Amino acid sequence: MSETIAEILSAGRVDAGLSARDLWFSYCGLGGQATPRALDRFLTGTAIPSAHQYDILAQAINEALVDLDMDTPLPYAEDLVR
Amino acid sequence: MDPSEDAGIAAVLVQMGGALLGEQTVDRTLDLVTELAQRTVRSASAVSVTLRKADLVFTSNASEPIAEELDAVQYATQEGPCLQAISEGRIVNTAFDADEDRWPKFTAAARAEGIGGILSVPLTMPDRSIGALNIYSRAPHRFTDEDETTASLLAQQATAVLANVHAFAEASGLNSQLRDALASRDLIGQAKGILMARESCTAEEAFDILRRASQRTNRKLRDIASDLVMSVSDPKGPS
Repeated sequence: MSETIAEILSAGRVDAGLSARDLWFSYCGLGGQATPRALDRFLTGTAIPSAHQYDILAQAINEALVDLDMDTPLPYAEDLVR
Repeated sequence: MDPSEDAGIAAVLVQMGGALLGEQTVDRTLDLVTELAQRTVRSASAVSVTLRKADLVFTSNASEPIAEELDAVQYATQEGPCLQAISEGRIVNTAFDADEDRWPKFTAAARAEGIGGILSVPLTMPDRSIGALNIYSRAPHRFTDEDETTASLLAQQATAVLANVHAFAEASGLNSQLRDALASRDLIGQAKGILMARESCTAEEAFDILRRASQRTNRKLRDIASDLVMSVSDPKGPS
């Protein structure tokens, strides 16, 4: 399952045209609490974010996707079968 | 070099050491490098600094108009010692005698202006060349080894400043990203606090309320938060 979450986040990050650093700044701006290094682990699947931290990341990516007029938002934690 | 000349160079070096980082510093430092090269390389008639940024190559500083003009000939014809020094990352030191046939158009233009030789030293960073220091001479022969050494030292100085400014600009960009993030985070934190009090919910639940509102209205979460905070701090304003 961790792989799937990492894949969702990584694919979304790439689609949204965000570098890992950009994503961390957006996530931090939305109140995210994980460090840049922890975020790297979420993206590579070596750690799993809590549902709440995942939602903040998904929100950050989704806002960037909206900026690009891309209508393919990431699902939120409640939509994912964990 | 006479003692008064030495004192002049010392003064220039002191100015260089006291320079602060910034765009203005780059220009000032490159001016100083140009000035020093003109003073210390004996047969120098004109000096310029060429910079390469992305695909753009341009002369940023020149001691005499002739240097800028001949640099421009190189950019227009896409050939010449300066461009070669940059692309190969090696010093080009040559006299425009009968044997020099590598850049016919540039050499013809240089000869027509009475220029007898050029020394182009690349400004090299570990991974690429970012420009060149060009020294033009009216003397019809190559520059000496000593001239090459002097010019290389000056080129290193210019490169160091350019590298620092590059790092500084990168850090400034990070700073502004961090400032934006902190401002947004603060605003969202306030909005969550308001919701926690109003809805008797946890911080995570407060975030979910904001997130759903953002999804529903297709607006950024920070804008939703901003409206909420405004409605509380100014109840008469838009809610």
